[in-house]
Amino acid sequence: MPIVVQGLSFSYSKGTPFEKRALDNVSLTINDGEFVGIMGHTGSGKSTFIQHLNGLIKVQEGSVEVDGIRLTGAKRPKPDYKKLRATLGMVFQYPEYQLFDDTVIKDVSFGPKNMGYKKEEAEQMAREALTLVGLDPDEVGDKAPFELSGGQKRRAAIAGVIVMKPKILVLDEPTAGLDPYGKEQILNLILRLKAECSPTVIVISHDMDEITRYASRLIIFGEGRVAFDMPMTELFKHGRELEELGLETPTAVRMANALKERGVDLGEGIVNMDIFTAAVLKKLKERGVEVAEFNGIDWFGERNKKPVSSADVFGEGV
Amino acid sequence: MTAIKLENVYYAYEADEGETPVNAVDGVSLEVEEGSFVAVVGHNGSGKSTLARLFNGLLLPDKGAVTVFGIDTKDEKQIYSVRSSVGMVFQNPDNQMVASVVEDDIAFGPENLGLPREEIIRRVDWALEQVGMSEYRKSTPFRMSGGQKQRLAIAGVLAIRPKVIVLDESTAMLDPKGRREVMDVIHALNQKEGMTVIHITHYMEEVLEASRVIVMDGGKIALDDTPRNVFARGEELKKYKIAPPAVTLMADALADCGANIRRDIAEESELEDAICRLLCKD
Repeated sequence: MPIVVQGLSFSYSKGTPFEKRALDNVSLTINDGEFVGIMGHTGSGKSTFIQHLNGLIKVQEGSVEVDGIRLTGAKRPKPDYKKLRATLGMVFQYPEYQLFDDTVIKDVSFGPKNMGYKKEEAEQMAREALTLVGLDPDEVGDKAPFELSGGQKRRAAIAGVIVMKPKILVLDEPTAGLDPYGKEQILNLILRLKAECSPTVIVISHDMDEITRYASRLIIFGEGRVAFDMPMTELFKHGRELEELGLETPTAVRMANALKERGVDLGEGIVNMDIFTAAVLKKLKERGVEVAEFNGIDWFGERNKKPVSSADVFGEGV
Repeated sequence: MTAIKLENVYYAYEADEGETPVNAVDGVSLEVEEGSFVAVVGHNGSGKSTLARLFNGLLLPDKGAVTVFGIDTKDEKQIYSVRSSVGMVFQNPDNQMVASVVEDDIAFGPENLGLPREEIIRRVDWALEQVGMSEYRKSTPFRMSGGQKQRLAIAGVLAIRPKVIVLDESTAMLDPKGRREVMDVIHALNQKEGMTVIHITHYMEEVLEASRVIVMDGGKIALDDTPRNVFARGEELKKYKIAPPAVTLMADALADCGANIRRDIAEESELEDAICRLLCKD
């Protein structure tokens, strides 16, 4: 069932001289199976918004429904927070700072133990979660979290969230502070989690070039409101307004626009560098140039190599 | 003049009992010319932050020598001179504030140098002006954006009047707008004040703005060249776990598929021209 948010408004320090409106009448629906990117400058309300989704912030005004669980400000009926947190997993910024237990396996099994699973069951779930995020439970399970490398720590922290197999996974800047290789690995991990564990994924990102390659829909926050929520091809026609919100258009879009002015029309639907590259190659082919098959930009050669239709990689229209 | 010179420098962190220490910096020699803008890149654990901490004597080499404007960082009597020549800005803006009012925060450094009050005021004024934060003099940093906080951290360093500023992933936690603010400030310092800038970053778009880039791998200097020459060395970069900017990625992918496009393209206008040569009419 979808996430349905209606008329959501929120103010921090409400009723004090420091009162600050963070969300202002936000309404949107996120359907099962979507990969949503959420963007907006610091203070745009995006973090306040996602914290509503797992009940970390209580609804002040409006309503939030997550997979049929109703979250409201009213005292009764009290929302089923336990069910909510098993349904929607939240990975915060720099999640590795939240590793707390003395071994990795204890840390990852903390969630299921808290949900009432027996120790053995919980640890079995933790082992599965570690495997899913690409860590070997036999190798890292008994280690202290601080013995892991930066990228491993982040994986372990993500394992602690997906261990409950949440249907919806929300990640707040999951690649922040990582090197390019670490970023690529975490993004591939998110795709894998989406395919194998959590079909609905919501990611907060600041990187246009990156998020447009992964998300199927972008929601742009600005001044506490949903500034844009439309197909990406439409969205990037609003380049100047995006700039006013502190965001850039993707490099590929800027390039396609510049080429169009010079008489090379790559067509509609250029929203990321994969589609851009495919469109240029298609043009070359039309001109009789022999070009090899293109399967998406894969710098490190480690993207999940499985046969995909071009629509999967490039979206419709190319 | 040479601002910072490293001669065959080695550094290893203390290892746990029973383990052999691994050199985080492993035989590095380099010279940074005064007034230059140098980017340092490398994957996590490549030794770049250790290198940064050797530049101003926060860490001292196990072997080899680091000299800052001719002064050896191991010279205990002159360590203050070294530290005031090379200022450092770190990653997390929240960890670098010491006072609850902006001007007090900026004054902390010069106060510690024991400067007269008038000079402190002059420096605070100047430093805030350099980072475009003069109007926030009496404000509190805690409610500011990340970009503003990092600019204050830079101002705090500037008030010591360093000749070199080292930024250790200082843009990593900022949003694009905050990153742009910080980059604009350090460019202005480099160009107008002749300040030497050493910028450690994971953002390849920022590397393009430097005149020289040093790629670290396994504690050694793997590449040391202009950004475009470095980004043209695809296979090597993969080995060092570096990815070039989006434009180079696209040029590389097009070349891979047989398009007649050079791989060392780093600017959008260049890729545009290259594609146009193949596809524009006439």
